[in-house]
Amino acid sequence: MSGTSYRDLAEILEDDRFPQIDLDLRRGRHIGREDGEHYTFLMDALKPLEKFYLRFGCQLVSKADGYVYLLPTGTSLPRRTLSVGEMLVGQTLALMCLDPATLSRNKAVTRDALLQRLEGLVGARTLIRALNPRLKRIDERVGAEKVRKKVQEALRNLHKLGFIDLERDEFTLRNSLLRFSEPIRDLGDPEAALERLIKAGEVRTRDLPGLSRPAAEDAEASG
Amino acid sequence: MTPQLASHRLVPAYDGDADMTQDPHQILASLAASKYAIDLKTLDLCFLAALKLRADRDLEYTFGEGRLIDVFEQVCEAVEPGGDNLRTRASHTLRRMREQRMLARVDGAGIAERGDYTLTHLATSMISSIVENDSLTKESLEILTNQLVARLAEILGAARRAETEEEWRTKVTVPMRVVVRDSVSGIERRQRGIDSDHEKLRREITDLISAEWHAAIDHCQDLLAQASGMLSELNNILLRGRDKCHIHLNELQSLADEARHDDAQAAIEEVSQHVERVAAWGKARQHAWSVFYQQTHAFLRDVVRLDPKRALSKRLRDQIVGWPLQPFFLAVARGEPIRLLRPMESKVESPPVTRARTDRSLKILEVLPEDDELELDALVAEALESGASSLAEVTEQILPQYPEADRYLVTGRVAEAVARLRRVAPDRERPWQRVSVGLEIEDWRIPQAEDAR
Repeated sequence: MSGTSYRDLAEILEDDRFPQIDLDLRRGRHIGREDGEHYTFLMDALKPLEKFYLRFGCQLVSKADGYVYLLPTGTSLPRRTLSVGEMLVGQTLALMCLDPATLSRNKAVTRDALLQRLEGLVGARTLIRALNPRLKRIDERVGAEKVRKKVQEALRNLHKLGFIDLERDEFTLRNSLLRFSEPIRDLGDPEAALERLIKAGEVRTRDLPGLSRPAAEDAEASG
Repeated sequence: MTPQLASHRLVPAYDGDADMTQDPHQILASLAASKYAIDLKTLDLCFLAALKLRADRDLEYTFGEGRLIDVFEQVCEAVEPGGDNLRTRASHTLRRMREQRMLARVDGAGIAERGDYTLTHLATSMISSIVENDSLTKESLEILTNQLVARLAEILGAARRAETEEEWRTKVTVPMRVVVRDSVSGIERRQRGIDSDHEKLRREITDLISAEWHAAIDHCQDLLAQASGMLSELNNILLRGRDKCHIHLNELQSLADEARHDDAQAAIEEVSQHVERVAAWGKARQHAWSVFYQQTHAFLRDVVRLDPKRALSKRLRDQIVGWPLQPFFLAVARGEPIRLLRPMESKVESPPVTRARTDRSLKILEVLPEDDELELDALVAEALESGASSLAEVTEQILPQYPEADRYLVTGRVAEAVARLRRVAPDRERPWQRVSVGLEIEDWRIPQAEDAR
């Protein structure tokens, strides 16, 4: 087999690392350079595995930033879209990933720093509304507590998906977070890029429940 | 100095030189009880620093009171020019420095005389930590490790020659605790210096990238390479030094073991742990730096080089701000957990739940009728009428009519009835008579009716 040290697909599937990697990929985990030998294995067996997963109606996507993930494009393997909280937290963490200041702390970020950044970007009221669409009246204290809970939940899920490494109140950013910046990676029109991603099945769009236009304008104002 | 001996001090003393191998709870309790606290102003620190610098420069380790006041006045002139009452302030400062154990009186004269003072270990350490930049360099580390190895070799030689308990104590244990520990502490102190330097360097590199972005790439790469090279060299020297130290320490441990000298063994063990810790520091720092090195290089390569105008961050910020208006959601695989079937097994017919069969019919028990008193009285009267002349005879006649289990009770009641119906003879000797199987009574004679009369 060209471009790989494995003789055939059977040898790849017999590798002791394959079962765990396969399970991780099917659960939506992004396997990156930070995963060490799992990532090395995937890079070595990438071409044969791409063909292998195509038979399940999935695309094995490898990005130059150093991470690999499985994208279901057919109906054989179920898929889900990230929640509002996961998207907001993920994008903010991607922005922090591009900030040299996080380098000095070995890409470790605290939950408080994340909340502060998130609030600074979208505004406290928008954040409360976006994360708690059923909330009729916004009480700042209750809302802030709910936001903290939602953010914590989002962090746990992003950890399961291989976007961050979570350790108590602190977490480490992984390169796979740059997937959140895909719509603006090339310097062309972001809307056209988003269209392309939707066609490729990478992204889906839907309205945010409970987030009225004025609340969204609040986000614009704070930005 | 023990806290008890120091009770005459103005400041409750904490024994700072206490052996740190003591129970930590004891040390903390002693420290808390002493209420020892340090309260130094900038002027105080400047004064202490001036004394320390003077001591180092002129090799002047004791200061007369007049000299201290002069130094204080000079410091005030430099730091807070134009101040009043310098003499009075100097006296107050000297008193406070003594209370806070920054200055110690060394002449041993009484309080009425002007004394000589020296900076305490606490003061010199504090000023050194603030003023001096003791960082490890390749040269300083090589000197320190060679010094440590040479001292260990000397101690090893002494241990080989040591024969008496006293020789082991003075030539092995004490030097091990004092000299070697000081050398290791010297290395550790400088390691802390290098930690602080690296912290600054990290900040410098990230600040440089933040400020100059693409233009900072070459400079950052130089800084990274420089620091990595230095850390690698330091680590190699530490590892070589550790190996040499361990050769000596292992031999010392065997000698102490043979001589069964527990104190020496403990001291050697302590130094071994220090040496191990020093080497572990090198490894840990190299690993930490390696992570930073790789991350920074990756950042420079993947982010800075590919986005020289830093447009990506700006566009991403715009994307987040506008996201509530135009939300999109990433898709990910959602593999359901694999369904694992149970291992196959043949169906087992479980028996119905039943209750064990038992004989639930009521058993009829023979019990004494409740009006047996009257019946017993009649039986006793009948026996007496028939001519029974002793209690035993009466009882013997009646008992067979009762079940065996009740005979003991009936015996007592018969005696009571006999005593009630007839007068019994009060014999001194009352022989024991068998009245039934396993039952004997103390017999009473019953005189006949005519005899009684």
